[in-house]
Amino acid sequence: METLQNKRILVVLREPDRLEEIQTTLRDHGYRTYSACEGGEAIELIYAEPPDLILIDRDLPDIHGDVVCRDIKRENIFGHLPILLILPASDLSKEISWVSVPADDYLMDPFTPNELLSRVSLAFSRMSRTLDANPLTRLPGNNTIIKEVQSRLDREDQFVLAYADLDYFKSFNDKYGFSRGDEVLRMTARVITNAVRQSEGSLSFVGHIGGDDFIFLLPPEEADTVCTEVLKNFDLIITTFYDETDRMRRCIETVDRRGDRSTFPIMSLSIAVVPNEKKFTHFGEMSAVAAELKKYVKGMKGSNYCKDRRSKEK
Amino acid sequence: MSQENPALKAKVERIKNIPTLPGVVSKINIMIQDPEVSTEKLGQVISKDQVLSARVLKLINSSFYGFPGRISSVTHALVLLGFNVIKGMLISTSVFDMMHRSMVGMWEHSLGCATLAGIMGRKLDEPESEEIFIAGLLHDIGKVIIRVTAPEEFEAIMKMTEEEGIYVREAEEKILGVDHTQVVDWVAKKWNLPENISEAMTCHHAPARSKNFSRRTAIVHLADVLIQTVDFGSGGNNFVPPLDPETLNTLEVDIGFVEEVLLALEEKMDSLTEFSMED
Repeated sequence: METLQNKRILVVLREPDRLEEIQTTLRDHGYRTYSACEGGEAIELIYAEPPDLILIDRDLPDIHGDVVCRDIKRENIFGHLPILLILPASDLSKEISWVSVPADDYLMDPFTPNELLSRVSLAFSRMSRTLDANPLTRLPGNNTIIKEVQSRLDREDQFVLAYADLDYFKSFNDKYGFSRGDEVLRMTARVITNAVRQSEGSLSFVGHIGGDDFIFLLPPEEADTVCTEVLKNFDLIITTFYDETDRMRRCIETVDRRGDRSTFPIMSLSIAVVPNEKKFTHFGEMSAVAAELKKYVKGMKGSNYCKDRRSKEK
Repeated sequence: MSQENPALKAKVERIKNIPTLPGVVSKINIMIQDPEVSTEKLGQVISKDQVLSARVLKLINSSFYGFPGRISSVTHALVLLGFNVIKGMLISTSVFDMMHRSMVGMWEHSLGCATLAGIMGRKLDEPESEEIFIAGLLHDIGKVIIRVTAPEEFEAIMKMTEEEGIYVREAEEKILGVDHTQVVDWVAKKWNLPENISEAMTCHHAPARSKNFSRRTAIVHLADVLIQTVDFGSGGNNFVPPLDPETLNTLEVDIGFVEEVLLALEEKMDSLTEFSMED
């Protein structure tokens, strides 16, 4: 868990006394703060020392708060940075177009110290819930996966890491276009998640590394049942995502830039299963073994899973 | 076929929760309280009930899940929705407040037609015979939806078909200006149902209008007619609708095939009479 002490909040407010009040409240509750009184100054500060959250007055002497919001959020790296806009109640009497004002929340001035603290901590918790989710499948992404695996390794939990990816996904994408490819990824995520959830226990976890790569964690005794279920259901449904002619032929034909034709089988799923068995200390070691094993599984025809045996031999 | 009745169309497209028979609901309620119940067990009940099957397909084809218009199999839908979602959906299943004995007949007709269509699909070696079963199961869902969205008109339709000795869809045309296949067309579009089931559902009285799935449309059309000749279930009255003369040609079969499938149906008859008024 990250502590509040690590959280830096930039407070941007025209009124110096109010600015001081707000900073004091936040500091008293463990946040680190720094401040600016103008929009231009704020933008400079944000680039020089990026904060974890911005509290900004809508009414600033030089640049309008809306514009500051827009400028910051336009930068991809700040897309996730929570911005809380401070505005007077009168602003709400006219409709604010939140589409063009990319703030994450607002605080109506005047507000109480408790209201301020509550909004700030809500913004942080909301960010941690959504920050790392894969936008396509809403499954946890890389950072969460690494944290989850590492904490299990640190606790020396007994679990298996299953690393799944699609075979011939690229050729499907090339022929049908990326939005049809996205449909297949969402379907795969659903198939994996439902099979994993059906297994007993809160110990299971599913994450989406990106592209057509998924990771799921299971208690060792569930690995065979869940993998079998995932592969069975994937094979059952995948043909539905092809057009009828390809479904009948059970393959697709693509033509590359040089005009060469090649055929590819219907997509299948390959899963590498790596038990930890107290051998690994870092996520990196475990994922390297999984990646190596996955190459081997992908060499097999159709949908398959394979368990790593080496960890036992050692 | 007329397509005029914007007020009904708006109501149909807004329909949220379609009720089913009390017997089905009480069976479902017992099942979901059983901690040992599996997705397969729930699937066995769902895939025989036209309303529950329609709801499952509507749910998985909604844009929320990210592959609208892609899933036409109840089995696939159940795998993709997962146990928790299915259970949540079933908990909110409601029962018709006013029951008509004719409703049980409609459910039997739906399952009978589906079973017959499934038998024909397998005998003819059609690909995806589950889709053909589903199209048969849902072909008359328009009648159920009319019953829910326009209950008074539904009563009037039933009365008119009896008194004047006309087909249900003729009475529907007279009273609503549209018939139940038009209603099916509205919901199939609204719910993003795949064409590989919706076309046979929408064209089951006029297989000649089928464009891309003429074989399975012919199968559902034939099943709908045949199930009424053997007097099983009821689509609202006891008149057997006319068979499109091209049907057997489309399927490249003769009358011997019809006898064969009816014989096969006989063996399954017992498992079809499972709907009841009781709860």
